[in-house]
Amino acid sequence: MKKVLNKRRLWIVAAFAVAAGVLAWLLLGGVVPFFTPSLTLQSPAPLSVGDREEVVIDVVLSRLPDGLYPAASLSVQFDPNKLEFTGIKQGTMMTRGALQDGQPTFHVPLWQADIAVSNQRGQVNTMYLDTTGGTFAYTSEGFATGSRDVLLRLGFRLRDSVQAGEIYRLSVADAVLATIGGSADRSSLATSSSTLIAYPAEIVVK
Amino acid sequence: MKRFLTILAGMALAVGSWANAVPVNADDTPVGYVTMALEINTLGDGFLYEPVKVPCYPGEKLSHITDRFLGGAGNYRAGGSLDADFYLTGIKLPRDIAVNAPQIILASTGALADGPGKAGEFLAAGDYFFMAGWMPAVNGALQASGAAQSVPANGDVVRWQFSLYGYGADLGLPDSGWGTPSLFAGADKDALLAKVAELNSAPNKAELLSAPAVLAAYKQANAALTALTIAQSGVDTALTALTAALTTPANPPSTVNISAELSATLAKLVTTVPAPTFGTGGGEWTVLALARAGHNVPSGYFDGYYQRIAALVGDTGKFPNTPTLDANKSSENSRLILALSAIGKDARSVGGLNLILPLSDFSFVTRQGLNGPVFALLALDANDYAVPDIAVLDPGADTAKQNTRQRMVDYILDKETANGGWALSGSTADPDMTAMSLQALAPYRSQPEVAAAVNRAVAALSTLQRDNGGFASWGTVNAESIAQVVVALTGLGIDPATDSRFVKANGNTVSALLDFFVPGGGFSHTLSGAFNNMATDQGGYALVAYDRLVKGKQALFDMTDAFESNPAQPPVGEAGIVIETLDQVSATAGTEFNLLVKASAFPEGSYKLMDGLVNIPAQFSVASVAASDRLSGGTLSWKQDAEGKLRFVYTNTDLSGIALSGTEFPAMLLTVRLRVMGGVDPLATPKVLVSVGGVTLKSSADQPAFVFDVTQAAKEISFTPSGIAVSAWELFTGDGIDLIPASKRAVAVAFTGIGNNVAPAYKGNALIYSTEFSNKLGVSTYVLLTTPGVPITDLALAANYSFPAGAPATLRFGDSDSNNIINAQDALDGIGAWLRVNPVTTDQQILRLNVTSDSRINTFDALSVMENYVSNVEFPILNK
Repeated sequence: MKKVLNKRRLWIVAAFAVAAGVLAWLLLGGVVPFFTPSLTLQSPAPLSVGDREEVVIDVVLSRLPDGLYPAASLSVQFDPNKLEFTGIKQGTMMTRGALQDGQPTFHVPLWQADIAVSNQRGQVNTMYLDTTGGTFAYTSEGFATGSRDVLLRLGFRLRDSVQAGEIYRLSVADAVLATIGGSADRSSLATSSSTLIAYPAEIVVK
Repeated sequence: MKRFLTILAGMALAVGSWANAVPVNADDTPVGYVTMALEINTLGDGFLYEPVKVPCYPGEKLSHITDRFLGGAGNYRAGGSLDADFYLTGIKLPRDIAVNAPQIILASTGALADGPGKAGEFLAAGDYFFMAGWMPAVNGALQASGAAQSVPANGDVVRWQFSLYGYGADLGLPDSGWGTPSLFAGADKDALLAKVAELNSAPNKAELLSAPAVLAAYKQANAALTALTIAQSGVDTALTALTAALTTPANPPSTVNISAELSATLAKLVTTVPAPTFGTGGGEWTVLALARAGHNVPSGYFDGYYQRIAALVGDTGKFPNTPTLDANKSSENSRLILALSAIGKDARSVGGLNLILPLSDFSFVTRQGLNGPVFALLALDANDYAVPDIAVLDPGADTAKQNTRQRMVDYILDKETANGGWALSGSTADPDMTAMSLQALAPYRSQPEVAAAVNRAVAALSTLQRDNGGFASWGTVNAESIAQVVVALTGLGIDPATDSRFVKANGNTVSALLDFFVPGGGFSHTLSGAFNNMATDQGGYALVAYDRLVKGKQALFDMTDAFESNPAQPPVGEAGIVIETLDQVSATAGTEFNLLVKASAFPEGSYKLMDGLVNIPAQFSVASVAASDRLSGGTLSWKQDAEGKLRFVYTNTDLSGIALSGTEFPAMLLTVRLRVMGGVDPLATPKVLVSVGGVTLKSSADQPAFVFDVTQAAKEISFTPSGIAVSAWELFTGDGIDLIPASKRAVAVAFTGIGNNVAPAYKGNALIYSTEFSNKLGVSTYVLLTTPGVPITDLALAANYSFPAGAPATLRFGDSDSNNIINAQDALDGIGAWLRVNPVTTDQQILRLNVTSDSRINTFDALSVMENYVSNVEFPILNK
């Protein structure tokens, strides 16, 4: 009986070890999105049906691994019959700037977007591109959870066709914070390669 | 009195008005052209209808020609009929008018009554003064008979004019016979009017006016024509100048292509200055560069700047309710005036303040030395601002301090150095001060002393220029000094890249400036330096100044164009339709392919409907028609009639406006899918012609339609005897400089008559399937990298291809990482390739990355990926 109990204990311990190893592999490999950076579109407070003020959606990054990210883009789908895209606003995450007296400066860039095209196709495609390939890149120096983690902000407004009780989803079709060569070595954060997770927002009309 | 006029006119017109109508058959050939214009110079507001050449047909009466000139009965009111007793009583104003009648008329009429002034209102007989009315003059003589009795001849000049006083006495023409002597003897303007009409009616009017000399002469001519009492000498001078400008060969195009550097620098300015504010850095100079370039800035960029400035001078701002921004430096005001003017904001009313006011004090303006009057002149001349009365600034001010433009010009001339040019300090001219002084003096060269000083200063700059084309200040060659010289020379109409005085052994002024360009956009201060904000501002607006010179636009600091209202819609002939399709198709019944209908321009305005007609040969039927996704606001209806003509309408049910988005042209309007009918014999009918019969835009039933020019919208399509037809065309050839070897040439090849699931190969070389080209042209289209030595004719021979079964390799332009998504990674991959960080070793990589379809892979391709992603702008390679 004692021999059987010891053998069983060994099997249980071994099973736990294997499971822990698999779990660690899944987590650290990014297959399970626990440590994978995420991009969250923050849902605003519910709006009244007659509210026509611009509502601003923060796009918050959970973490930014070390590296240079000279380019980033975000595609957000929305219902153009119910919502009007009003434009891109600056976030709080900073990119590197030009040297001043030998010291790096930082500033918050303004991403490019086309309001008319976005409203026509029901998708906002916005991009930041540092054409020097790194001088004005996003880096971890320009990121801080809670204070410098808003990548950009999206402005929307309810259209006259909205009805009380409706919910409008802002979903991320694609997002990437790109490094040079990052699609090959997976150093880019990209939803297409599961190295970045994106969470949608909802605009609720009460 | 209005009744008296009407009765009198009716009596005159009743005599001899028995001629029958001469209908104009559209198939008649014109006997010639008359020059026709419609003027309200007596009200001081020029042309309502500018002079143009109007065709006249055999026996056609002036009344009919006028009806056609004015665009139909909706645009005017008349007594009688076109064939009898025609009498123009009112004109529908095509624009708002500003009444400022000449004193010589007001001396007789007294103050004018209120009258119509808004677009859409009718300017009619009796308005403003009881004697007022519309009168035609033909070849300088008022017509005693009516327009229905007059049959103009080829070359006649017809001026419809609004007379206020004396039934034509105020028009400067010989006595009309109505009994009131002419108030003055006017100049003979017919020859000048005809010359301007000839230019206005030219199909290449825009191209002609792109030459600075022609544009200047054109403006001078219009000024002469609209000055009621101008002397004959002024008219003759204008005619001589315009004739000379039109016959003088244009300047050769500049040899320095700055488009990539300019584009990148402007983009960099927006990135590094997302919210410009008052100041020398990240402020006015940035705004000026972007605005004068017409750069596509983010929404609210300029408005946000203006609001911040208005807040600055507001109650709680840094300069609360005071127009003087610095106690000692008037250049602070001048700089701000320049930036505001660049974005079309009147500096005389900013948050309720007149920022020009401080420049009325000469002692204040000169307090900081030469910079003061230099920048003050630039600011005032930016929008022809008048120098205010100093008493407005300070009621108790010494009037001896009253500033004038001439005082400032004289001040600058007085500071000239002994050998020509100007200096910030000392007695030796320096390039910066010399250049800025030239910028300020440019508009005053009609003064002999100024012209002489300018010539000396230009010579001095040429002497100061280094061998590489650069300029130095305090011993250091720097971007800012070169930039100021570029701005100065372009302001004088001198090409800094090609003028022999500024082309030195190892470079010219523009190439020297580009030596300071920082990859990715912007400029450094010194050659060994890094990106510098001030150098980028100045280098940026210097490139803008140069670009404006090359394109024949107004000089950088002449910002009156920023205040012009939206340009009038281009007349017929300036917005054309073109069609694109395959050169040859298979004659096999059922073969389908696309015909693309595109517009070279799209007029501004509110349009509710677009319609048109495409002539389809009997060998084709129309399978489908789709509207471009750049069109919005409507839905498309179409039908192919019994004669084979395709008729289409794009509109909506609520008559709201239709629009065309984007700024790239030619712009796709429609994709027409054609299908080859049965029984086509290529031997009997080797080729057919597809053409567009007409495309119009309509805003309302009582407004004339905008008519596109369709004279270029035709294409021959050949039928191939065999079952497979091949069309081939070049996309690009490398030049060996940036990643594309000179031995590589990209071509596109379209097939009709091949089935699915084939992998074509040209002499054993597999082609790559292009989804985008195939969708656009409606047939299987492939791309291939070959060598420049392979002739296109060889590539267009079906016999040179094999068609083994199988799935071909595919590519999507711009998708560098082959994940079928275009995003920032692809844009960055282009930059990484250009920086030589990412290797480019395969044909597929070259084809994917070179979306601009030029000879190189560079940052231009990255910007094109960005434009495609953000604004859905089609890659240029797809328009090849």
